[in-house]
Amino acid sequence: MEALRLSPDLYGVLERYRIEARRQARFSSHGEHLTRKKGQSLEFEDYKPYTAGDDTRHLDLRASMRVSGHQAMVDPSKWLVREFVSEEQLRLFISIDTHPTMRYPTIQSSRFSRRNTFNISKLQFALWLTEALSLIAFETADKLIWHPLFTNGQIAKSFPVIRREAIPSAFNAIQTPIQADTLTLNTEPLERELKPAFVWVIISDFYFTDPYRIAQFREWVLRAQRGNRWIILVDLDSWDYERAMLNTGLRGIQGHNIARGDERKVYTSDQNLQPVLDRINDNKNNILNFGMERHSFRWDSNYDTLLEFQNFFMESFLNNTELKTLFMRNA
Amino acid sequence: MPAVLVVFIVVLVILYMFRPYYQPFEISSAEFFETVKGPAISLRFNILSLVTSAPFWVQLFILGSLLLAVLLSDRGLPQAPAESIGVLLAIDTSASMSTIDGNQTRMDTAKQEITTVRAFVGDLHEAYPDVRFCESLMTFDSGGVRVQDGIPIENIKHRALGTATASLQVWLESILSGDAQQNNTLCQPTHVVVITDVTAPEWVTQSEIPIIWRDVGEPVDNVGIVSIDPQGSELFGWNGSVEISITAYGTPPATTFISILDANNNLIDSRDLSWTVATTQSRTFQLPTAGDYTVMITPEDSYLYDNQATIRVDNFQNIRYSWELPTPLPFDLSAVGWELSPNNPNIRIVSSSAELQSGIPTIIVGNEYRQATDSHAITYFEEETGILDRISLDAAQSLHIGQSPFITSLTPDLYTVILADDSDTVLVAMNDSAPFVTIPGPPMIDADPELNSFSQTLFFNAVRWLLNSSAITPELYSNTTNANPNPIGNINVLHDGEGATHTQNSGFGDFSDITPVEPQVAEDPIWAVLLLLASVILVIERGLTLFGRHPWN
Repeated sequence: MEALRLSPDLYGVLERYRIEARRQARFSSHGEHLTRKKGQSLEFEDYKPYTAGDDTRHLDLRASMRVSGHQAMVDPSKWLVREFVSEEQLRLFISIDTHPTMRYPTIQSSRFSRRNTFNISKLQFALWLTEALSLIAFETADKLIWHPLFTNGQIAKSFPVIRREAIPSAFNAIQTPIQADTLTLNTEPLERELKPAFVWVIISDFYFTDPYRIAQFREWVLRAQRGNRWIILVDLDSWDYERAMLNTGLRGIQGHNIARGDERKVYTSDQNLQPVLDRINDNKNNILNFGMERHSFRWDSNYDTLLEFQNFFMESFLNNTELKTLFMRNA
Repeated sequence: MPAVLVVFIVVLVILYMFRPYYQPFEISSAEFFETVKGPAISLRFNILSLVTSAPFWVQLFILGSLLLAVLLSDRGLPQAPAESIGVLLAIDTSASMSTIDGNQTRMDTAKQEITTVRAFVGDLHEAYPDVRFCESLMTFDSGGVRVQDGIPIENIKHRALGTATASLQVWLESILSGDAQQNNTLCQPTHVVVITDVTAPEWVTQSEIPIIWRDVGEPVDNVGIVSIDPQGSELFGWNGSVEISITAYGTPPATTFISILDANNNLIDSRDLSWTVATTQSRTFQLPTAGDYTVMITPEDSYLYDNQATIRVDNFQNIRYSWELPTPLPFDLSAVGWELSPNNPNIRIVSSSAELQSGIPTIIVGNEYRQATDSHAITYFEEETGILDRISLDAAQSLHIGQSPFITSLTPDLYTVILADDSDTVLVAMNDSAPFVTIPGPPMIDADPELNSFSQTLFFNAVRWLLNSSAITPELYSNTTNANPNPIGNINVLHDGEGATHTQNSGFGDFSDITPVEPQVAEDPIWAVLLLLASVILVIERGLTLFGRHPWN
């Protein structure tokens, strides 16, 4: 089932959010960045007369002498100081896990009509989140890149998205199913784009278990961390939902890497499923033990309608302080 | 066989339980189930989880309610009854209620009883002001049961009809089963008061509600006509005489006179009966011509309806016969009252089935009793009709009687075989509806004595059977009925038992039996309540599965 675009109803909410983000930026301290200060850069705008307290590193004697002659060498009032505008633009790099486990939970059939089905997969959530972040970032970002975290070369390595019109093609490309066997970390865009001023948002369920992939991923996150980039780990956790769906009873568990016919036959009591949850958490800790905070979006136990799932997304998104910080100072 | 079935079902259940169904689920965390062990014993479902499941108990309750509804389909819910007294008064209006006891009729006594009952119930009404009271009045006789609510008591009359306590019983049963409104009675009775002159039958003592049977008949002597029967026989018809039977009830008088009067009240004949004990005596009278005759007995007594009867004689019906055979009749039947009458005969004797006429009893006679060329054994004979009475089958066999010649012209579905031999040759046959009888030949008087006897007996047996089926015995009178309740013309009041006014009858119960009771009201069936309950809970349970959360969904 194809992922849905964000509901137009939600655009209004995001618009208010974006206006708020712009307002916050305008009133932020002069010379400071929305991104982390370590990555700041300054651009010359104009000269102004020197006043006491100005940073003498910005004194431009050559320009002062051009205006006031040699007198400028002895009279500080003739000095001109370079004035800079602060770097307020955002460079956003959003990595979306395209691993097959992201395509679950598969399809939630409506209880009222078999025809009225909707997608509540983690990939759907990730795409909504990416679209929402993009919509807000259009105003302030000077670079916005959608990045499939894993690839086998079947789709483009990355999708620069800086205009709203570019979203649909990136949206469709990201959700295109890809063969799982040959997936490797999509490092090429990382090499190219992961500059010091970038914010790297990684959206995944962190269910990939292949040691090579885990090692590769960790290496890149550590490299980014060493460059003092702002890394935001977004953990999409659907365990509560899947646990409720399994309920208690005899179940034939199928999914990624477990074909039909080879399903795991289990009795899904709490006692039996605790080791499963432990394995999931161990795997995540193995991937993410960087000492940095991760932000979890946990699927509720049930969603009866698409609207409920959309509401879950919006509440999760709007209440996430870390994501707000991306756009709003002191949020 | 049931044991095998039970074992088979048990085996199926065991197989079912050990072939569990693993409901497939496709989830993202499937890879992490690698180390989870499957159940040690694979059962279809976990008993423990079942008994701790609320939906299981709710569904079990629904199922149990439905089963209970089926099992308790004949039960009702108890209801709070209200005390009441509903008195149903039933008065016998049969002819015997006209009997004079002392200086008044039994009907007069019955009306006094009604007054007494009403006074008693009135006293109860004052004593129990909170109790619901009602009364219905009806009459019963052989014409049926009639509701008389609103009819003044003085307008209740006896009728010239018989007594029918059985019809009263049937009617009461329908009332007690809740059909009171359908029968236009004003209230459901709690007590029944029957006022009559016959003894309380057994069913009165076994009634669901108290029946007070008041017998108002004191024993009185009576002599009455019980029957008037035409005399004659089916072979020779009615000979114009009647036998009048008189029964004396109680102490008979010394003599009873029987008089026959014609339509002009002229005395035709009279006899007297001397009595020593109460019994039934008969006298036979010869009536001269057609017309109405009145039979009277004297002296007059307490019950008048059986002292007189009128009979009507349309004509004297000699048996008229039509002899249509080429050979003449060898007898002189006029000596026994038979009349040769080709027009409108009671019976025809013909030689061919082609001459049958609808509705006229006919004997189809073969040409002669002839001997067959070879020996035949009689292997089939039908005795129930009487056509073969006193027939010697040995003679039929030894005489080698051949088949009736007509039989080849009739298809087998048009007759019933009475006599046949071992080669399926039909010797005698008959038909009920035509009606006819076929015989091999005419009666003979100068042949072999055995053949004479055979042929004559068979012929007159056929005549007897045919005339009996044509019912020539005249009906001289009929009894009054509900449709014709008045004794007019030759409609008489000679109902069985009405004249037996001498018996010492017995009643049952007393007015003091009338007390307030809790009536058995119709109960709401419990199955309907259970079904409603199960339905409501099912709707809620289904709703929870649609809209609810775990574990309902």
